[in-house]
Amino acid sequence: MFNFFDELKKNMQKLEKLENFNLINLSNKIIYVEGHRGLVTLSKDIVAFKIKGGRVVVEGQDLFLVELSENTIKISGVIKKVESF
Amino acid sequence: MLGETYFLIKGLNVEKNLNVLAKEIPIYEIRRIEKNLTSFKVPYKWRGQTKKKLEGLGYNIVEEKNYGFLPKFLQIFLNFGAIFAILLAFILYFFQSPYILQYEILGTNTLSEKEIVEFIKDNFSQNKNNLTLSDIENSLYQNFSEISFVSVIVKGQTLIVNLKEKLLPEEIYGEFSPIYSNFDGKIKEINLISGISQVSVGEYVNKGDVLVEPFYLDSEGNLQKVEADAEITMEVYRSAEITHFDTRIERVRTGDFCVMDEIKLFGLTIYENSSNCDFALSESVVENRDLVKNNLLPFKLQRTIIYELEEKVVNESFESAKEKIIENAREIALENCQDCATIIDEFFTINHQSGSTTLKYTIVEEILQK
Repeated sequence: MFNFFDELKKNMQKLEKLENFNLINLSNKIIYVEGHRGLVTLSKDIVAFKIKGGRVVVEGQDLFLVELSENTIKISGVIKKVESF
Repeated sequence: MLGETYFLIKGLNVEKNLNVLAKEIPIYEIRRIEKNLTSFKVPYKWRGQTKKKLEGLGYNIVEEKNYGFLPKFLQIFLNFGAIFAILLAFILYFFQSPYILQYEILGTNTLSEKEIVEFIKDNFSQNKNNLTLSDIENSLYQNFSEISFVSVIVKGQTLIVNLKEKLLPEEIYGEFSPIYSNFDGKIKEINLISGISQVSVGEYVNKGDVLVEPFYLDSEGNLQKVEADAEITMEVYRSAEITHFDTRIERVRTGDFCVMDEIKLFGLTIYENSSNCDFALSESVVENRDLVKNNLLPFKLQRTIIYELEEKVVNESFESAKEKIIENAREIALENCQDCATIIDEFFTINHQSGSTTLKYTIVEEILQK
């Protein structure tokens, strides 16, 4: 089965530390995250979640989680900013 | 997805508990509506577990809704269970309605209801479409002599047999034919059961004579039909005659013979071995034998043995052959007996004529005719 992130990593093997988490932003409307360590904040304007060694904050409007599982998060809404700490 | 459940919960610190929940249950469309109000969806099959966990975590479930085919189907099934049951009953009724499930026998007095039901079950189908009621009626009437009237109807899934047993004596219902004599003989005893006797004790009758007529006289002197029934004991005479000639010509075998063999297959002669037989007088004996035991090629041997005969003049007086003649005549007479155990008398008469003597041996047999 084709996995976007696996394919991307194969092509960029020179870079290190790619195992932490994967995040993809689709047209600022959907964010898909693999490898999160837990939801921290959920509101219409901010969604924050932990990652290995930090946390990611997504800011926007009418945000909600399309899907939440132990390892993945799918965030939908009008995404304005994604910050990683 | 067959169905999903929407939860609206009230409580704080949702993020932490959603993480716990997400480890076991897939969660969709999570929205923070207000600070203490959060909504999400879970698959329908996980609703029970989710609810239990939320209550365990101290959340107040404000709203719970089910979506999709499975919840609706289950809801309809639970809410309209009575309708389902009625539909099911209709379906079951539709499939089993063509069959007879119950038997009801009316009007039995001496007959057993069980016996009649078993007779119908054994001889007729339980499918109403394959039943011909007139056949059941005829069959019951013919097989149960106690029945004088029977009618059969099907009402719903019940087969109702309405019958009337005979009230009059059995002899009233018979075939109205007279009793004929089966033998030539003398009437010894008559035990009349029903009908009018046409013979009396001591009377000689011939075979075919009417013994009892199928009538009786009622109180007004009219002839009424009734089954002729009587026990008539007859003395029947069985006779055999042998004529003895003092001088006679007998043909005896000389001892010469010749053999002719034919081998046949399917009736066609395929081999023949014949010798010349120029006998003036002869008699032949034919034997057939199978040459092989299988039926593939059924070869058969037909052997004809021709014996030469000669004529001899025999002079023998009646007195010298008397015992032998009596014995032979008795054997012939015994062959005509119906039941030799009922022999009550036997005798013989001798009639001498010029050159010949006729011996007539008679056995008197007692026969009970019904």
